[in-house]
Amino acid sequence: MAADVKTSVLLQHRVLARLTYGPTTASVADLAKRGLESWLSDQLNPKKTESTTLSQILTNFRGENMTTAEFGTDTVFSAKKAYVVQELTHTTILREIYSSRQLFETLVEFFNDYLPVTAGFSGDVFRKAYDQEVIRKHALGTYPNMLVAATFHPAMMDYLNLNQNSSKRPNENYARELLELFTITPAARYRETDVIAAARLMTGLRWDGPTQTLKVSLGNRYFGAVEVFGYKNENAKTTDQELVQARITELVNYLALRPETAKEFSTRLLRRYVSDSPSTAYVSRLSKVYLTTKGSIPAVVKAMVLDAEFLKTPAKKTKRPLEHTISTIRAIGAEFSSAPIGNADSDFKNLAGSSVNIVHTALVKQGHGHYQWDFPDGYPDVAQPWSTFSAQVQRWNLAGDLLLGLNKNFTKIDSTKFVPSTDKTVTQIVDRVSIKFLGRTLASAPRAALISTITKEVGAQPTGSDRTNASRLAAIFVLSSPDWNLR
Amino acid sequence: MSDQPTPACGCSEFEHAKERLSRRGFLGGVLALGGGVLLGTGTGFEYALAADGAAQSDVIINLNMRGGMDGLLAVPVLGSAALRAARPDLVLPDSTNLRLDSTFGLHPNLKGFKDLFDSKELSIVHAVGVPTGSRSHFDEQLAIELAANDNGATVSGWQSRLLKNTGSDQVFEGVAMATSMPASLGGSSNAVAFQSLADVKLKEVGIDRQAQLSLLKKLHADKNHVWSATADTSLSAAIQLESVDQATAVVYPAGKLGERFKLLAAMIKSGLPIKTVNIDFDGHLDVHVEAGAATGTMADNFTRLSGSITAFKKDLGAYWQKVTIVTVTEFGRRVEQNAQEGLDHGWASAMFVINGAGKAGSIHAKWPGVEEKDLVDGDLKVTTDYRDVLAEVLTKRAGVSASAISNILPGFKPEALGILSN
Repeated sequence: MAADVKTSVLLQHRVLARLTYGPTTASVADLAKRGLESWLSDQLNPKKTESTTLSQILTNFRGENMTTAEFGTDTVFSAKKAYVVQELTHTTILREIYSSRQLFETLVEFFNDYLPVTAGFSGDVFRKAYDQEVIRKHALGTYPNMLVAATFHPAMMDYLNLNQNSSKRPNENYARELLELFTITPAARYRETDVIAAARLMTGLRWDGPTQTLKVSLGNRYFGAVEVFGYKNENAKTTDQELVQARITELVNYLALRPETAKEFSTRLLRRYVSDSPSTAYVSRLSKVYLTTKGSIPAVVKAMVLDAEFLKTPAKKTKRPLEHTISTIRAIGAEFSSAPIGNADSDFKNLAGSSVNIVHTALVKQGHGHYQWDFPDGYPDVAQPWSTFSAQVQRWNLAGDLLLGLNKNFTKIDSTKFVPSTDKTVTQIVDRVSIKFLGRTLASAPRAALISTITKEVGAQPTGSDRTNASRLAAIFVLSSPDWNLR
Repeated sequence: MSDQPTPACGCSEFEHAKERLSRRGFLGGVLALGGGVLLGTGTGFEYALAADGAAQSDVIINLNMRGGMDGLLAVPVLGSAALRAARPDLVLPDSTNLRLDSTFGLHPNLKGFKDLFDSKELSIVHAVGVPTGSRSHFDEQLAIELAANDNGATVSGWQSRLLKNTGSDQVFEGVAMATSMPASLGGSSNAVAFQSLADVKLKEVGIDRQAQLSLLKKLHADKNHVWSATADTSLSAAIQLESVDQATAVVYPAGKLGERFKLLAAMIKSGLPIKTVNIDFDGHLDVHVEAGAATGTMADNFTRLSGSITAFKKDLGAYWQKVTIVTVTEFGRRVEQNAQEGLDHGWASAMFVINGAGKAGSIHAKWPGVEEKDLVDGDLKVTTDYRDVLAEVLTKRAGVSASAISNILPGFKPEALGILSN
């Protein structure tokens, strides 16, 4: 099956639509040349280098290489906390469009939905550090390690109130979501007593401002035996801060390596990349890999992609607004009309250009702005919530905006670049554009309708501006088709 | 192949929702309710095919208080030493609360609600909620949106089933004032979700408008997926909204909730055939830290809630008499405050039923008490199923016959609460 990817344009598009932010002419060629296994191993290589152009752009941003502690003490970001999330959002959008590590970027999105920290809380100054030191650092590592890092990170500690969990009247927020969302889920049928015990074992953690380190506040620490879903700890009184942290780490690892967690992880991964309702056999094959590799993310991803079901599963997964928007920009090859780097703020190195922010605004209007889902379960990842009137009109408008040059934040595209000069007829143009964006021609009825509509406008063998118009209309409507919204 | 063949509506997504509920042990369970009532398992159901026969019915608005609204701060029980001891920072003096009767009051920032209560436009149900009591935002939210407790036939939300029961089938009958479609309207391809007119203006692409619309329709002719199934509705809705005028002299509170009610008022006044609406409240209700009694988070929430509905009433004019609003929340908060003057997830809460025709004006509460011995895992006990409230709204204000209730709330035998008069 893997060999087919080298020869089948349809499969090349299927792979790239699922594992990247959408195919481009270059990425299709690269995948065709390498074949699936080689392409995948390159994408999963943690040392894979980033595109030079993108790396160059990213060096302009203040927080790119800052540590958590540096964010915590940075006077510029502390004064303007909103800039942290803004910079994170803008650099992420740039990465999603331009990164050569595309699969990695989709994983970063996936884990920001799995272990989300919603923006707009008091820990915002640490939000970019969380992305860098929890999500990006571990996205090609193991899930248990990522979860431990999230548990001890000030952004998450603030968001789910672990920072305020005390022995006297514990705050259960983090413990509940740890069991419910991040590990075993209610399918495991844990009890209220498990939530309370987990909350108790996690009491006393505090982010210490002056030293920017994690400390244990012994006065707020619960000591005494706890039992959480089969995990037991005597949790005897101690003043050893590292021992306390080690107990919490042990619980998190115990939960992260449970078979129930393996199943949930595999289901969510398959739901993201393959299908709203993956088969139980597929889930179970990935769960096995998860457990034998102790939660290795690249191992499970590799097992998912090289599984026979991956390529066989038909393209019925609805793109979410983020994927749709970024994949449209990438497919068309739209370029920002203003530089990705905008004016330098007096305090900052640089801010993103206004065009980048327009992408963010467009996503917010579609209900899919980065880090804006209000709840710790991440944005929905199934078709129904996104298949709305609002979404459809905005998606239909996007293709026209970009190809007619209505959106001044992007340079106007010459649509004839999609069709070689040898394509003379409307039929040839429609088919060429369909294959370019979808990897195949449209089904016969919609294909005939599109050819007929364009022919009425410009005739069957258009030349000059009529030919440009035909190419543009073909692109607009192929990108407005259900086929472009499903993968 | 992992994708199973799906029905014509393209419902694999709903299968997923159902699966999730089932996985979490909600379906098919026999659930003990506070008062000892048992909810039996359903035996499946079929949609009513004919119209219900009722004449005019109200626009039924489901106002989602997502995040878990504290019912004890909204509708405090007066003079309770136990409540004061459990949450000293989150109880207002009785003299500050707006007195409803000898037992209950309203938070002072719900002044507009007090006026509605006095004019018989508001009823309140207390100690109400979802019988399962998992304290999970996500399970309980899905449960209230599906409002189904049957053995497998349900693939849609309760508002979709309401639309189906009316027997008619028009775009705009179901509206979600949100960018994404809530599960309560899931399965209804004629429902629309949007929150701003500017977002849904279909732009021209350089060809004749009719040609553009007709081509988009043909591109989506194969309805084997929910995306394509929604397209005709989207095209029709875009055209119909072009004539909606949002101008009004009424000032709504700033923020998304006010904007949503303002747009909804314009749509209702323009004559769109709206039957049921889902609006998400806009504000932070999940107050694990510093809930804010007199001032702060919850106090601000109540101001916005009260102000938005007061403005909506004023804006609607005579149309207000054909509107019923019911608030739902996935759970209430813990009776005892935590160490940060916050409230963790609890169980029972309060629901508001607002009726523009003045058929309300009562309080229903099988009061379980807030003494420690009365609580379940520290929480106010659910003694009324939220579906009893929905059932009364549906039979009294949505023209649903008593026998048709099982089409909308499958497997559920409602108990009359008397919160709406005939």
